[in-house]
Amino acid sequence: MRRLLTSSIAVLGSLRLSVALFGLLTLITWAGTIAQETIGLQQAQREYFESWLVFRRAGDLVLPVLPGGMSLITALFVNLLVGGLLRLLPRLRARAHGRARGLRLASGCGVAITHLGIAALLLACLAKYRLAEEGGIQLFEGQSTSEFVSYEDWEIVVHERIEAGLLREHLVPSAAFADRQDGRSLRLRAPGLPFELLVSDFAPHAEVRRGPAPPGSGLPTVDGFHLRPLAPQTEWERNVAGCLVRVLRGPDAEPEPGILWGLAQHPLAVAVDGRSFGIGLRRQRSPLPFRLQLDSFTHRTWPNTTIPREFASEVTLLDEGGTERRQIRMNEPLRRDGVVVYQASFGPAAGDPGGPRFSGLSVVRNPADAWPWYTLYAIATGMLLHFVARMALFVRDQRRALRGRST
Amino acid sequence: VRFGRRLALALLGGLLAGLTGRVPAQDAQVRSAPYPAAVVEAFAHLPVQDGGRIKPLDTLARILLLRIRGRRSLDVPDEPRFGALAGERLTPIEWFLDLATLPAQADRYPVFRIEDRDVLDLVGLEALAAGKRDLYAFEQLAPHVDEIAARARAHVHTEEKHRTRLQNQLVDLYEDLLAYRGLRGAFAPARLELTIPPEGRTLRRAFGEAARTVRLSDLLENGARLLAAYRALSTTAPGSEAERAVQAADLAALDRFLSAPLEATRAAAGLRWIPPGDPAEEAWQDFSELFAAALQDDLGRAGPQIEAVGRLEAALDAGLAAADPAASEAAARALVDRVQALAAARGEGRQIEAEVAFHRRDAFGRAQLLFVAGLLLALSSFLLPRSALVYGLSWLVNAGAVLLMAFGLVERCLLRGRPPVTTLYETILFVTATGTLLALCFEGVVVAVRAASARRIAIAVAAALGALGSFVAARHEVFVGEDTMPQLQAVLDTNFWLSTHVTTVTLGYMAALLAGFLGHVQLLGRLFGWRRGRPQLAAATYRWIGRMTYAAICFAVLMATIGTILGGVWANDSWGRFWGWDPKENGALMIVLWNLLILHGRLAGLWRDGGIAVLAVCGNVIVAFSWWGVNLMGVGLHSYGFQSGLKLWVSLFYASQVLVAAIGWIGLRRERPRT
Repeated sequence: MRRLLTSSIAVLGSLRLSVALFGLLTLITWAGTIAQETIGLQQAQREYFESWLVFRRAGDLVLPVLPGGMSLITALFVNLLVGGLLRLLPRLRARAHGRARGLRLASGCGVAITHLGIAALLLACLAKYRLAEEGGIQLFEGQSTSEFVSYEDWEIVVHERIEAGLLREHLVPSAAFADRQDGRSLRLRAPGLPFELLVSDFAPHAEVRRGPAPPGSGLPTVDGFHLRPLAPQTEWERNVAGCLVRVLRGPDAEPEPGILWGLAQHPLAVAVDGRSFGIGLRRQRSPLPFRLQLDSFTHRTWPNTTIPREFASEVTLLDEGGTERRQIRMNEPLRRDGVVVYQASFGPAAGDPGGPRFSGLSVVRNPADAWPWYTLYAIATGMLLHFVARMALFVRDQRRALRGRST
Repeated sequence: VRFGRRLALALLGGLLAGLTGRVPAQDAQVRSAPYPAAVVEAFAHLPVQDGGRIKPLDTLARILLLRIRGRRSLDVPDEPRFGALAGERLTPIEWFLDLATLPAQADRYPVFRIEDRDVLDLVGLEALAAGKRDLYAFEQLAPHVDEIAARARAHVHTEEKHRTRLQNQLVDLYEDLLAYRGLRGAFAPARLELTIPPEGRTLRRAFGEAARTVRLSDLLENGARLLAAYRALSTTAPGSEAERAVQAADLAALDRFLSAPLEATRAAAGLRWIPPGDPAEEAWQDFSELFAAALQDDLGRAGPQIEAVGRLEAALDAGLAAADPAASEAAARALVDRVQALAAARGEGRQIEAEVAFHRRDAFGRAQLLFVAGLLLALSSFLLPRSALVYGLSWLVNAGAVLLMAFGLVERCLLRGRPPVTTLYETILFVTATGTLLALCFEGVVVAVRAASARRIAIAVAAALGALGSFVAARHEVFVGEDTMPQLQAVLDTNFWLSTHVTTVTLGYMAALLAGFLGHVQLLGRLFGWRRGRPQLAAATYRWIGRMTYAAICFAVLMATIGTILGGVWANDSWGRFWGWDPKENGALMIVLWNLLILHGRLAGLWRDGGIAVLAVCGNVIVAFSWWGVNLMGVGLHSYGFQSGLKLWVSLFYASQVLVAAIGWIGLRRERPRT
């Protein structure tokens, strides 16, 4: 058992494994970069870096050709912890004896700190990848909001009109049904809802067309329209999702089909027992920890050029604590209450090129927001310690050799 | 998120639409004598606003000539029609003065470089006689401008990387023509002599009965009054039939009188040399804006600006190349002083003097010469190993070149108020300066530890790298043909991140490249059996080259890693994510990964000096991909500098590095049985 442990430590922490991982990582980084020219950033990211295996199509076969970024980075994480810390630390003691032990110790500590820093950095990236929420806000001057809208994720919303100006909403995020891209359906029910929903045929990018669905597609035609899945855009935020729902009013009732689409003008109306419901598909919304109001937006170019010089949004933050005026500029985001708000874009409303401009802000809620700074300090310190110590050792050896030659 | 590109395209489209206006009437006047040096000197210091910044006219002229002609000077053909100028070599500012004041003369200079005659075929110009060295004069191209414009417009909206080479050249030619046209006759309005027609009653009243001709500055001063009179005339009902005729003639005379300055100022709208009086107004004025402002605004505000126009008139009247150089010099100085004073009142143009001096000193051009000399000295010191003089000289010359480059970089930083690296061009300068410096440091270590076997190697590498780097920088400047000190777009407008992330990442490129070039020496030296005759010396030599390569790789890992993470932290502050697998980010990551591979494999005993050399040479491919290659892809957030035509050179570089690595590796394998 002990031998198994030591030998597995030896393999997992081996330098040969590191070399292989660095080589493979270089290779997929290169491949994933080149691929962006054809399939776009997000698709390349998914296929090469967020995957366990990279697949290639050869005729009808889809074969794994390379380990994906996920498996390589996971392996690297293990390798650097086992090799850079577990195997190194016991040797530090040995370094603390004999000639030039201070320098040797410093060099070893540098390596350990660096590896620890890299491991922490990888964890920070994982935290961002798994836990962060991202989205955007578009505000014209004077407007305010207390939620942001996801760039990529969708949600089904079932709302009921309670009285004038008051809606009750039931939300289902697309993460729940994004895998139902065929006839398989997901059954949704909620207490207080007098019907159930069967969601199926989710398409990340789709359009609604007039006319019957093409035969063989297996898709229903609803009121003379059908949903047509499209190839996803290379920039995913331009995708418009769609899906099919069937409304089940009771265990014996015939399901009533309907089409939900991200750009639909009106929700799907359902009336039950005098209560009226609307069902829609929209970009997922998340709450902001404060209300954000755009007071003014500045966009300046260098005189008589189109070179952008500055984008800045003057905003007022409102919450129970009161109000606060802040500025959000390029490279100077607003950090408060766990969210970071960035100046991202601007533009006039669609179809009104000369009209007033909105300010586009990005919102990220990332628990590991500050980690890269900390890990950078650690990594830089560790590497400097190591390399400077190595250099000092080299100089020392050369000096001794010189002295040896001259005597 | 990408604000810039679409806007730029839209604007370019608008600009192109403007080209089909007709060429303004040609001025027959030509120049017969060289400009006095002092006049040229004065005009070189005239501040102008271009590309969103205030720069000396000298810089603007340099960029324009570089972009159109592809060189920093222009040779007037040795033909009789050029009179005393035949065979003269013109500096950019001399050429520009011709273009701005004597367009008819400038139009005859063969200044448009068209590398590929197929471009002419493309627009149906095969009949055009080739000028010397593929150079064409504007007067040759002018009749075909519409044809060129029409053809080029079909491709203008295509992204550069999707155009063919010929299409790119066509668009380049078209844009060169636009730039030339934009500045042609830029000072011509100051040469106008406006005749007052006898039937122009209002004009006579405004300028005095005695005046026969007036100048533009007179017109500007009376502009508002004239316009008011014009308005009154066109709205007042005439009392009698006779009065009606007089009034109509008066109006017609006014119309005619105003049309010439209107057209001339409009044609001169490309040069913004008039600092506005309103401190809140950032944009400097050109002739046409001043003309419009003078017609509409009250006079008091534009007074100093109109005075500047008056001084330009005086300078041109004194004759730029007149027989009396003292008078023309005084007039030119008076003009430049006036405009500089106006700029200074706005707190602008403080760097004019320094910028002209910077270009005159040409630190990088001189450093290139020194590096070439240094390379020759370093190589000859291999042939004369006993000569301390040659070795010492090679030290002196190369260290001088490095100092000169550093001096040039510091000058640029001071001029711009920026850290050393903000553009692709500056990365070349910075990599060259720091790479040669690091190589010289290696040589210094070798001297300090008295490693006789390794002497001269690092210094030769430094000289070669310096010569190559400064050559590439000079070529790149010509190739791009733009201001090398541009205003930075908003995301780059942060000296903190430019001085930390950009500098460290660029140092990473530099060290990895230096390792690669040391790898070349290792591989090629061993392949061609350098010092084979003395095995002990050879072993020591290659061991030392290996040490230097290793040191460079360590430095590369340090800088590239810190730089890459810093880049992530910056991205987290500007785009909201630490890492986004953007091509430029990936390129930097690949440099880190590759050099880590080399270091860890070395620790594992997988390779020694030879193997490391092979891998370091392969690393050059990765650096080139990261530094240049990803810009050629034209995707991602970091595409600040896409350049067509570079693709070939970058591919050639890739191929050469792979070739060296491959034959070096084969050479190593053949070596093995012998040892």
